[in-house]
Amino acid sequence: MSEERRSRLTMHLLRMCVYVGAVFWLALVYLGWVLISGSPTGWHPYVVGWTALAVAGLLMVATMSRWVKYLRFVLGGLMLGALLAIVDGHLPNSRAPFPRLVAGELAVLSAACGLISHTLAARQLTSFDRVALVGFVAAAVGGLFKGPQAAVAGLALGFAFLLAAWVRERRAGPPKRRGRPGSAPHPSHRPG
Amino acid sequence: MAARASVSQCDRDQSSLSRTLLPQTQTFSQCMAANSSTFSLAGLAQGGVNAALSAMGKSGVSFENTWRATLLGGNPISGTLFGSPSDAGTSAAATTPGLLEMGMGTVTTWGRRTSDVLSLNLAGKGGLPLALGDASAGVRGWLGTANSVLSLGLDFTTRLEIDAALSALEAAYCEYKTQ
Repeated sequence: MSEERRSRLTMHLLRMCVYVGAVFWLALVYLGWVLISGSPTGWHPYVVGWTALAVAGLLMVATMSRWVKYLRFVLGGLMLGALLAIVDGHLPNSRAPFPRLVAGELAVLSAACGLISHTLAARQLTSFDRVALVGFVAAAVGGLFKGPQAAVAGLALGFAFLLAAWVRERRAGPPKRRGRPGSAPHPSHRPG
Repeated sequence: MAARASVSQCDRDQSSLSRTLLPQTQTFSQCMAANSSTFSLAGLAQGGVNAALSAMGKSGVSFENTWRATLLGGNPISGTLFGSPSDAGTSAAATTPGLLEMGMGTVTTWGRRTSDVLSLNLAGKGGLPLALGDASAGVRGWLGTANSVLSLGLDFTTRLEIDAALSALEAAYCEYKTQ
């Protein structure tokens, strides 16, 4: 196997792992939400529920500079589900009808968010970017837990966060490109 | 009248007997259709959540068929193969360019006219012969463009690769269950 093919395979596997990880991260958030919103008989489920939510939050913030590179693939998966719903009128593995208008809005918003996240992936994250990404995830996930209309509103709010980060970066000047530690800086940032 | 009623009663008894005593046979397609949501990312995540809840002595939850779970983690490949004809058409239209492009791989060369290994070189002039020809490279480029247009550069083939792996697992499971 050539070097190029091996690196492409590694990249494919990484993308798949991140997508699976994103779904399981959502499951962790859901588990925490179920435990704290149920009718527990003692303090134990509350503690476990809040611990699950805290771990999910810490994971999200600590690994942000890594998962932001793969965010557009997660959003691509969301867009695929929405596109199938537009044509079919229902989601994959489901017979229940899903509003086509909502599916269309979700597809457009996920595409727009994906395109902006592509620019975030290509540069070093600033503090503002990190706050915007936390806002994006909170809005998008919060909307998903409510209902289809709330999901659209949440994704629209998340898009506003990402757009704000993009506009701020455009106004700030030439971007700081991502690079390996010790590698040469971007030509636009060389002194002199 | 009474005789007809007793015959009808006898038919009902026989029918219920066959339902309870005879083994319930399931075809491969029925098994695949029945388990498509279980063998999806949403189904896997539900299994993980239920395992955690069970360890805490709480009852399980079911969300693999909710809209939010199927939107992010449904398996469109099972829908293509074992859903209704309209499902198959839709999924195929959306996913075919990307899958075909991946399936074609890269254009390979075999036999050589310019190489350091002389024993495999062919006599005559000309460049390296292409196993799939120049046309396949063109088609592959066109498919790549179509896929980019359909996915707006987001490359949703990542999700399809995961779903393909899960569908293969499901097929193995159903093959085992129906043999």
